[in-house]
Amino acid sequence: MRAMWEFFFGVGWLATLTSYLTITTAILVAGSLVMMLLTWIERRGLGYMQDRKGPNRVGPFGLFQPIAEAIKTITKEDITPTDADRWVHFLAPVVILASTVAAFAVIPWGNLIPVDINVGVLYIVAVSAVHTVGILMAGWASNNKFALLGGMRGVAQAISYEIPQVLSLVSIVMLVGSMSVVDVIQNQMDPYGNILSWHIFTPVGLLSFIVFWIASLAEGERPPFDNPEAESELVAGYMTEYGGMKFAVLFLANYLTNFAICAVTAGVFLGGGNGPGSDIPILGTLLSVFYFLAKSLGLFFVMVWIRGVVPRLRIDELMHFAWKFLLPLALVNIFSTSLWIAIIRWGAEQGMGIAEALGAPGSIARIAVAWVVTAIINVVAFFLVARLNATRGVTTYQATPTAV
Amino acid sequence: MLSNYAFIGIFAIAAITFPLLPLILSRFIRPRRPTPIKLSTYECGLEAMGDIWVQFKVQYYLYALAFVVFDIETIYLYPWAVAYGQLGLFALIEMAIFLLILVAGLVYAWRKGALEWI
Repeated sequence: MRAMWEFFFGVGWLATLTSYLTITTAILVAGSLVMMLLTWIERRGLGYMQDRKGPNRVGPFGLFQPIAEAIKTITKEDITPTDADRWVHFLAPVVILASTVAAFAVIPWGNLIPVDINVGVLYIVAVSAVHTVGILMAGWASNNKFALLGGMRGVAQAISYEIPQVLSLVSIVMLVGSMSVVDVIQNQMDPYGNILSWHIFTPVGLLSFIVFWIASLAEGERPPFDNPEAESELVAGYMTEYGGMKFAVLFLANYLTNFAICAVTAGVFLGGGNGPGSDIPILGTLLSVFYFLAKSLGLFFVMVWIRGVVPRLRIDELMHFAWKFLLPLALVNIFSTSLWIAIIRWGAEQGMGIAEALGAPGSIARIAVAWVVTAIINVVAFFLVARLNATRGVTTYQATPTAV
Repeated sequence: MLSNYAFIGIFAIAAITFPLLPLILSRFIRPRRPTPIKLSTYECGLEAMGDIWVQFKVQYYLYALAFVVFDIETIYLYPWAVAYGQLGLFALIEMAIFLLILVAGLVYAWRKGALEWI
């Protein structure tokens, strides 16, 4: 109570508020700049993959192209179709972008940490899941068959892939023993800058990474999972009736989601801002921001790469992949993570007296045994689940004529 | 701790303002010359035919139900995952049973064809 009183009426509240507002503005500006860079990377990268140059006229290497497009969209006429539900049509982009941006409150930029809350991982997942509501709003309010279909598909896809995504993070939370994003990154810190301390370099972390990355691609509606806005079948899905600034807001949300996915993946599996020299007092902060951005942008390039080479999935394959492949794998991975921790860390106290024969907790022999056991479980599970999903011959999708 | 959530609150307000700002700003910049044809539904470029209230597959709702089941079970897994390192063998066996119940639910839904997109 006293803390609350001091917080609201003490001397320091104005200073605190100012610092919070400064940090917030800095994150929003940096996020927008990174988003502009991402659109440039995507268009140039795809261009070179398709043996053309991509935008290269505006500014050096076409770097100012996103600014030109921002000016274009802000001066474009805004069209709200007469049949559309005006308010929902207007609010849908706001909901989608706001939910995406809110996740950035806890994502650390290297050593620069906006805020460290003890449920950080859950907060990111929970807040970014709200964009599903926005997709349905956009699809419904447009009053258009294809937009509604895109919205329905978007919701079905988002909720299906959310489960493997969240379950794969459970493994990491178990390894760390905390849900704070800062603790997750600290857990991968090695005083010698050894990259082998990253979560991805353990059998459980690797399977978790694979499941999380694929599920996140689907959550962010990246190709090959872009069925909600499949331009060759649904025109532009739930974005069809959006133009001008509203479309720009949806576009911004799309790329900010992609950046959030890359940033979270880099932080959770690739050690965030950790790297050689990232613990030096001031220079280390700059280095850590550099490492963080390098890892995130590298992951984004992988996204562009996937878009360049993989064709879009059919909607039934898409749903089966989430429920019949990723979900069982995520569940198996939780089990093998619990074995990993039991073998490496537990002694007689926790009822693992047998493991004492291999040496003290954390010894090389224990780590070796844990590696072998979890790797065997995960690999066997992978092939078993793949076999369960295998179909003989070519399957065809027969849509019933009335329902879509 | 309280001030951490104060930051989250301020950030949430900023996150809502962030999309509203350019939307309102563009109101003063952009032209505004609506015509009935311009404001008609685009759909796919042709004149829109029929009603938008088309019949939807029941699978959407089956997936939604399965989602609710698994999402709630995930929420139960998180506190266990945080505490797991200190719990001991009992927690491992207990959670293995819980996971088996989860898997049994998944197998049931799979065998029943609830996960099929027909």
